[in-house]
Amino acid sequence: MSVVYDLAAGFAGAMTPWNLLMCFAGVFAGQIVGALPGIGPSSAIALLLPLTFGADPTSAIILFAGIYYGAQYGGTLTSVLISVPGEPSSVMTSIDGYQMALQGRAGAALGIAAIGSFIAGTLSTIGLMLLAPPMAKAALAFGPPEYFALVVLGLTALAAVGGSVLKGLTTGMFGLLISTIGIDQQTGVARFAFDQIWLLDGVGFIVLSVALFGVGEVLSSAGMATPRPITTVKNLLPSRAEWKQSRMPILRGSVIGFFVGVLPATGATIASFLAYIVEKKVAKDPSRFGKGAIEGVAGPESSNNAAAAGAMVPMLALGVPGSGTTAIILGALIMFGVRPGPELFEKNATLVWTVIASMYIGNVILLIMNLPLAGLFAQLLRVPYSWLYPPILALCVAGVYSQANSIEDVWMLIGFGALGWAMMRYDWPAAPMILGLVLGTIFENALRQSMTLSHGSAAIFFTRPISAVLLACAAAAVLAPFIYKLATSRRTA
Amino acid sequence: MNLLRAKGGEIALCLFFVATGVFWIAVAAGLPLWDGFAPATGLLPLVFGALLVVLAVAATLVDVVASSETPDRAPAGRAIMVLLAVAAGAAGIETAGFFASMFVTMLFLFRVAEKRPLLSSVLASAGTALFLTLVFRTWLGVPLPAGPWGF
Repeated sequence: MSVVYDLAAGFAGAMTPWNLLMCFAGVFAGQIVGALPGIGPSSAIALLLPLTFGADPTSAIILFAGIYYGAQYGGTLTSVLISVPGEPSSVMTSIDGYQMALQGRAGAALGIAAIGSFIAGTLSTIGLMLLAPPMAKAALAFGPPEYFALVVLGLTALAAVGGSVLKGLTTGMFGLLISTIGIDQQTGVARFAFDQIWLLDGVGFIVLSVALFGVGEVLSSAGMATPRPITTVKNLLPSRAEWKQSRMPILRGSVIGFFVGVLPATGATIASFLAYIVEKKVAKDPSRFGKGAIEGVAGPESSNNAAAAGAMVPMLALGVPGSGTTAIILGALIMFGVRPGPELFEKNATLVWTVIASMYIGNVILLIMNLPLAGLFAQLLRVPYSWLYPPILALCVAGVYSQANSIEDVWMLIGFGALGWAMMRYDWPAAPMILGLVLGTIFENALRQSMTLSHGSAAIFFTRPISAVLLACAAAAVLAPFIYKLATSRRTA
Repeated sequence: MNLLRAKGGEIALCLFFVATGVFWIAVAAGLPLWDGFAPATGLLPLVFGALLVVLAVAATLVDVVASSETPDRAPAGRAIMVLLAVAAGAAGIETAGFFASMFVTMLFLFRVAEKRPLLSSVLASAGTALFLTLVFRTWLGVPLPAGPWGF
């Protein structure tokens, strides 16, 4: 029953005019950034971080969560209309969605994606509501060794999400490394500050996020081609036959997406791949897939939306993000002085339940907005990127400068922006670096406290069962891709 | 030589990570490493530096060995020009003020880098700079630097 009371309190918080406005602004902005090329939810949240600094944390997290799940649908527009997935999680949608558009059924594809996203988003929010609190409660027994193991799991899991685990681990390590800049909180000794006062506080989370996801992404997209011709969107409501074909794929996609999203090291992209494969396997006529099968849109679209809510479960309950965007939301929570993890549901219950309630509201807003306005959003694809990126860069500069009225922060923005561009160019993931910076202090404190508890013995991490299991999961996250690659190469040889 | 040409960017990025790692090791080695039962100020930076070197080299080696082909990438010139324009704008913030420096930066990007029409470029640059100045100064109360002409 306490869940019902908590949720009711959450709705009371989420229904205030300001929070409703934030929810609407979040899903609307998410839709736009999901549809626009060259800017994703991570960049959008990074760009908005400076504007929310000092604001109410609950409203800010409602805004960020709205951007996150709103962008999942925004990415569908580009997948269906021009066969360019706005987000990696929309890649599978483009296969059959674009074929449907070529057959004059773009409206039905977008309509079923909107309905599927709504159902999946709502079901997975119920899952989040039911799964996260007991998970957090179980994790309340965590001591420093378990927190240390959680940070290791978070970093390795996020490193494993991208293409190369080694590259992910390297950038995560670089994030940990730069987290050591500034005053050591435990000893008061300045490290790597080189007698510069502005370095004593270390590298700011906002500076690094805006640099890597704002400037870096803009620089790598600056030479993008002009937009492609776009199909007209009409008849968004699917026919009775199309709805009948889509019902079960939506339900299956919701379940797959949620549970895949909950697992660290997976995320919406893998969820949508899995949902597509399942739909193709269970289809009576698999040959229709790739030629405009509506199940090929309904399954993956439901799945990627469900995964967005699923990824919030470990982020809120354990402080382990399941995706790059949740890594930034996690950093934002820490920036607001809120510690994600087991204590969150105890100490910041109002924030958590208000955000969960806002996700129900956000899904309704998305559905209402999408069915009549999909055609309007499609027009956004006609805006050339060359009109967008100069204002984005100016916003990056203003946002970073405003944190401490510091021109040195702007220089760091440019330096890390150049690094972010080089990393994107050569496929090095940026999210683990952000997570490394955010979790560096927790990692160091937990390690020191654990070692003090054990009188200097590292065995404490392996003799305590939860810590040992978490570290084993971290090892599995790193080793699984290598073992899979090895097994695949043996099979082909 | 062919490898350098094909994978020069990857190798340069790896060298950056390696150089940073080595620098961290060198500085951390001069800090206390252990205090009682727990790591002191220097140990973790030292370990992070060493791991960064190992991981960066391993990741690049795997990348280079896995494929000798160079994927099609957009020329770097445009990105470098944009970055230099932002750097020039940043350099002018404290002397010319936020509005003027961002206006000029955006005008350069619209007009010179993207070859957009002059009038539209001027209007878009002025509108954005004005909007940002108003939002940050008026709404958020951030004292963005003003130029010699007072804005």
